[in-house]
Amino acid sequence: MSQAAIELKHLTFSYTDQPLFTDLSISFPHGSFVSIIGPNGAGKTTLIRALIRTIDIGSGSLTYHGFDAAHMNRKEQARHISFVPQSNRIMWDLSVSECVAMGRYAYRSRFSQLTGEDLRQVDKAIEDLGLSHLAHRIASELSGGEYQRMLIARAIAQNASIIALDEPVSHLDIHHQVEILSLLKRLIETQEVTVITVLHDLNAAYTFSDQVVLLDRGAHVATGTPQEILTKDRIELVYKVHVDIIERNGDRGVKRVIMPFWR
Amino acid sequence: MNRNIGTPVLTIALLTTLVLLFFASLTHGSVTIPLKETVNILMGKGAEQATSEHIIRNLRFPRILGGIITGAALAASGMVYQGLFRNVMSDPFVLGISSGAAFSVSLGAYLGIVTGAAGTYVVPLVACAGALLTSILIFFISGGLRNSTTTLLLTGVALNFLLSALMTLFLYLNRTQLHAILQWTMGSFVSSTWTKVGILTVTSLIGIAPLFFLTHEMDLLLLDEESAHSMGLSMRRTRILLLILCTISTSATVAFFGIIGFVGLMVPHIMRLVVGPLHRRLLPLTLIGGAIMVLISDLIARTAIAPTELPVGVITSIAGTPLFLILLVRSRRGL
Repeated sequence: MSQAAIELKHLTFSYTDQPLFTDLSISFPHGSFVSIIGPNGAGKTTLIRALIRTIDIGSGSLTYHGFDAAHMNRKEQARHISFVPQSNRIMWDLSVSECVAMGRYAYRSRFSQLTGEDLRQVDKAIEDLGLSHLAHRIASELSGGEYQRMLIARAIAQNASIIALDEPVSHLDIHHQVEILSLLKRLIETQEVTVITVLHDLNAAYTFSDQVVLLDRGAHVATGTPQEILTKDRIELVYKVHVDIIERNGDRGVKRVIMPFWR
Repeated sequence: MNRNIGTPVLTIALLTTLVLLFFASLTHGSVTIPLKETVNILMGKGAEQATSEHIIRNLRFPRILGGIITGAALAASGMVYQGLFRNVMSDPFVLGISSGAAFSVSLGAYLGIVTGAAGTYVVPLVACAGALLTSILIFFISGGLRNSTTTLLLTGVALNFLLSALMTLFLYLNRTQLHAILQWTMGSFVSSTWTKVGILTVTSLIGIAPLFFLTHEMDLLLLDEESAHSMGLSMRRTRILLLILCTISTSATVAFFGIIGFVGLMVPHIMRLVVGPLHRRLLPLTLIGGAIMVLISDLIARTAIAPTELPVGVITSIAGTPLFLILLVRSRRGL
């Protein structure tokens, strides 16, 4: 984990007159599962947008594995970082395999159809995500969990070493939440990728993350391991809610559950 | 139907239909000329009657070619606009881009800059400027793609109203050419000449041919902006390029043959149902389909109450409006 997958330095950004980020610098270690957490309006999605350069990062700097993003064209960037959006459905009748194949755009020449290598990557991504039986189905007809897996397959087919995700599980039931997050965790081991995701569920962030980035109204509050960041005091301060943290000894060591107080 | 099997089957079927329509259009009209004589004329063997040769060579042939190119250009533009604005109800007519071209030509006629010998060459340029300006206006007033596509469509509809009203105003002020301009605004191929076909061939090559090299880019435009961006698409450059290409091919057809609505709406929609939305398959079929739709409409326009001709735009609008309404009701996702 010595090399940084992403190094973001001196990001200053505003949507209005009030700056959201002022001189924000964060480093994302390679091969890790990083969760970006924080209350609504903290700037989580904006940070992801900065990482994939869909917002102007102004005088800030951004590197992917040491390569300066400012010197990359879009296709070069796409070979470093892929993105899984919030699950907004495609309105066109594209099949699952057609959607996943779009992930190969950065490798395609203007005139070519999909090459053997492209098809191999697409098939592998579909297979890895357990979607082979759905490959010819229309994407918009998939269930929530299946659709999310398809979006991740598309990101995998892009063959980038960093995958950024914006709330990939917030609309899924707990079964599919665990399924998707476990799958992302496995990808880190099998494909040596770095996963950077916005998460709302603190327990999920605690369970799955190697590192947690906590934001609050544009301010970078802290970065560290879940044990370091997700403490009672800090959660109560940032989220303005009383919580109880329950610790249980399990097979895999101490498990911590964050419970908000209901009034 | 499997899309991979459906595409070649449909391509062959549509090309056959186009060839049949081509000959039906050549032989039928206010005067019916037998097929054998028509073929002889086309092969340069001469005709029994000089008038038949004149009708085929100088009237119907350029008219049919004008129709084929116009249909292909309008359908392709509709396909591109639908992807570009991510809305199945977009086409150059609905978005007011055809009206923009038509308005600028009316203005040009009023100012006397599109008449005379050089007029044939000037009129597409004037139309192109008007259409491009309208596209830019729609894009800026509706806030680009940041707002919903409903805003975009309604901006186009509003501009369409304004431009149509202004066009009527110039028609009123330009009463000496009232009939000719009125016939043109409703869409007609009666004025087609070999010169116009030549110019249209050039504008279509400029406007349509590059689309074959942009099919991957058009596919990505179907997705949400951030996804397309992160997959490597340069959105801004692609959008501007596509907008310019479509404006060139659409405005040239409007300049010569007036407003022919709904071709761009209907044809890509029907083709998409069979071969899906990927542009590598969709583009060729849309081009052929557009040509077919315009040729059928023109054939109906010429023969329905012959010898009087109906405006082609009226026929396409009668056929297209119900589909537009069906799409409006069904495509809640698209709006």
